[in-house]
Amino acid sequence: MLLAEGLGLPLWPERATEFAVRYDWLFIYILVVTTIAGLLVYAGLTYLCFRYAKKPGGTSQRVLGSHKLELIWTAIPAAFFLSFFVGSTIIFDEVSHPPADAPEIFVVGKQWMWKIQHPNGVREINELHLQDGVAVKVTITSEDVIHNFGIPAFRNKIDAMPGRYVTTWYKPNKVGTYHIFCDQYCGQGHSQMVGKVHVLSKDDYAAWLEGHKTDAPGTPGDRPTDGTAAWHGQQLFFKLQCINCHNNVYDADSVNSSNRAPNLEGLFGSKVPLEGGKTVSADGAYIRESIRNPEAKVHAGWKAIMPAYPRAQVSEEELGQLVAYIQYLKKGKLPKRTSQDAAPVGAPTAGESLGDKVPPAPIPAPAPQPDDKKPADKKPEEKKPAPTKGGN
Amino acid sequence: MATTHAPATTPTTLELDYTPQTAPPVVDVDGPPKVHYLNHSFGWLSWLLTVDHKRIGILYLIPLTIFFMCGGIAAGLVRLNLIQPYGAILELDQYNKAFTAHGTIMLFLFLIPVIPGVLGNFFVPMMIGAKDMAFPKLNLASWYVWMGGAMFFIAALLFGGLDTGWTFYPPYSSKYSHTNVIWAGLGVFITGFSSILTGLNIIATVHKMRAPGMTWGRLPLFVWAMYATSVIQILATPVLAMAVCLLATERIFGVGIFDPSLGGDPLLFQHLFWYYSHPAVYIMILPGMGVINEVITCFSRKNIFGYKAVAWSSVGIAVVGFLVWGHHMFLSGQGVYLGMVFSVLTMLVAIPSAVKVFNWTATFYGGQITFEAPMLFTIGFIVLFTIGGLTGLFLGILGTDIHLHDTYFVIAHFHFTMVGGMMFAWQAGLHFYWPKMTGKMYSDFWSRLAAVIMLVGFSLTFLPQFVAGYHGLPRRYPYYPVEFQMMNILSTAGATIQGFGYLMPAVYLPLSLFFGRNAGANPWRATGLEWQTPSPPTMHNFEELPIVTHGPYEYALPSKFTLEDGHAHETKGGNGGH
Repeated sequence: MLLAEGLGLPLWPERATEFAVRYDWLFIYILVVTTIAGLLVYAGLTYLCFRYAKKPGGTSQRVLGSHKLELIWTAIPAAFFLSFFVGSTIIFDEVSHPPADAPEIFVVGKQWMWKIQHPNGVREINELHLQDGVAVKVTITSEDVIHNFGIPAFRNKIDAMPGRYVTTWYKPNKVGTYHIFCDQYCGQGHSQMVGKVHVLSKDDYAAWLEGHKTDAPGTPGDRPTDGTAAWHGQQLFFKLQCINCHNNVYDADSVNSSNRAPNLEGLFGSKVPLEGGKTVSADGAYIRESIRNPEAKVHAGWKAIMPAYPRAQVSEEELGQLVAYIQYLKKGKLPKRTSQDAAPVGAPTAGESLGDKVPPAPIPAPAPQPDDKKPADKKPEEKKPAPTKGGN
Repeated sequence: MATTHAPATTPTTLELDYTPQTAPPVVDVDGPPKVHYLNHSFGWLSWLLTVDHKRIGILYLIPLTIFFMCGGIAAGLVRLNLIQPYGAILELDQYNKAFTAHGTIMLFLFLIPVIPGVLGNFFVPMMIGAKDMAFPKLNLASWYVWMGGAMFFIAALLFGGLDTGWTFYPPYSSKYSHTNVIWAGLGVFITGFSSILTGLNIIATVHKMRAPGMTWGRLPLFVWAMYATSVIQILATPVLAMAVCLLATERIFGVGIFDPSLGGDPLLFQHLFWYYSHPAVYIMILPGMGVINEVITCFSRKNIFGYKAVAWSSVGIAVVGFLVWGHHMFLSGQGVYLGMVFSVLTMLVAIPSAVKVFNWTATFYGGQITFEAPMLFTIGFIVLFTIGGLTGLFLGILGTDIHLHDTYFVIAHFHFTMVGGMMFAWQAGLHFYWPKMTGKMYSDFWSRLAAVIMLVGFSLTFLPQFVAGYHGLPRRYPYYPVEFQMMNILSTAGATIQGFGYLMPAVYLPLSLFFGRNAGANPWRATGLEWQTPSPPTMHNFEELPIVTHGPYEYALPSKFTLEDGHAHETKGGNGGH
């Protein structure tokens, strides 16, 4: 590594998280053990080559082997390997489990750029601004081919797989600017799919936020700030006609009612009861799954009638924006539905669906439904039988 | 030290003067026989229709050398381009095609077939005392299949190129790449059949064609290694064929198998691909390890240290090697627990490799070591393969792989095992057996110099890449941050030296055919059956059926194969003295 310093690289690669430090200790431990092992082999080789170089009239000995030695040099490496494995499992476990309360940053790789969306609605391309000392959870996926989101200074790296959402986390502890690399070959622009992480002090981060539109929690009835992720999500919410079912019109006698699906206000972060008695936390992963594959987890009391939205209809980036909007949708923020558009393909009209399952009124609305506020339901799918429902 | 291995018929009185391995003793003929396998018939057809395993070995040698040069030129383009952070000579697409050509040619058309094709064909029958392979015509068919597939592959690279990397990961390869994925895949598919046929042939040969007395415990370790390799070839290659077929199905017909937007799963391909391609690295390295055993015993005049340990470690590598493929996918989201299992199994497969290195080193003990070119290549192999193996630990361990995955650290590790390991083993084998194959001896000075130059050039090329990799430089980057430039320049300088090193044998070996002195039947005074025939060997290898009475590598017993004629060796006895 001394060599490296003289040649343009720092003595030791920068470390900007505590994880990186722990990672380096594991690396150094293995490096020391393997270096000693390698040097022992070389020393033995060198000694034997000189000691037993051919001499005139010399004779070689008929040595066939030694069980004892074989056992020793099988067992010793095996013991060290085991210690490496234990250390590494601890490290890998750490990087796989984000702190529960960390805000989620959504990263989408596409040929050939990184699109990054902060929970407060700020969107960036190939740049990631983080606040010093604040842990963030990072969920990564890809729009097209396999990429890999790597930040050497964080000693962190994870594949961006199309069709999958993988999660890792960082807690930067050193202000600075570091590389983001795409590490998985992704085509022509692979080497240009790079960016920078900016770890900013608290004040600098606040100043940086100043210059960006964020989704400040507002009063009921207002709209997301223009240009934020939630604002894009709201556009999509209308364009994809989500609002046709997930609305706040509760009129049992009207085809315009939201009987078909729960109101999503206040959904984010609540506990959603599922068919079968389990509950699930309404986080980004749950919402993404419910849009892509609505039948995976069905809100108790609602029918699974929501159509799936594959990537051909909703890109990963748009999906992230929808999640941002649903996160933004606190109680009372959903606008009135303004059109009479037909429900999405696949969704039965209210009348039919009510008819085939339940008789008109009876159902006592056991369900979960947004009573008024809080545990809203999940957003997609479901439908609930006719009457009832509560919520505003 | 206790003995772990002794010939089945160890003489109680070791002073007996006897001829290792064979009876009746074969005269050490100086000068080639009048009629041998090279000159018993002439003309193109006598080569293209030959069923002689020795001629087929030569048929492999020539195109393999050409493919190695093609792959080397591609590597040269890549390294040259990298001396500047924004590319010195190539466009982005050209760079991607160049590194893909380098990887695919070197792996599929050179490293996998080289030792089985040339040395395996040529020497496995001779080492076990057979006149030919079990299925001589299948052997020739295998060569034609291989050449056909190779031509497909080369054509795909020449007319349009391939830019997927040698790993062919979908959905890039199945949907996004605009290059000749189908044709290249077809080439890989076809050469795979050749690999299977060759493996089948070698297994049948080892089982059925051994000379009287050639028990499993007396097989030369090269034969053990080739046997283990053949088992892998037969069991793993069909999986690659499946993966390539599925890839083609998706690419041509749009059937969703790997592409998630069609309902497929890209991880499925990685599982299938690495289920072949991880054992494939053992297909590449095991024959090389086999060669090392032959050379190291000959030039240190010793029995191999721990015959059984070395033989069984080959088999162990072959078996466990099938269970570690997931360590290429630690970061792909395959699951933490799956990753842990693969990580443990990877540690497990590292142990037999370590055992081999220790045994080779211990073989030097008590020897009479000389340092001809094959031995220098072998020592180079041990030096470099040790680094390659130890750095593999960083990648096989779940935690440390996070940061090192897909960086130049991987590149350096892989080249240390495949070039530092396999390429040096191939050079060792080629230099060791060249006198037997051609009857001519090459220049001692130039061959030793080539070994040293290759070692220096190789180290300079790839040691800096470990550093660059730990600093995070990703692989397959034509453009890179400027702070990595010096590392890349060092690498390129090393590659240049290495290139000269590889060119040297391409000059002095052919020259030896015309100007070299006659090698004689057994220039290295080696004990193997293959050395008990004239050089070049006659058409049917052995005039009389050899009868084997001892294990291989009985260099320490007095015999007519001692280094100095007429000098009576003393033996220290079976327990190895000291």
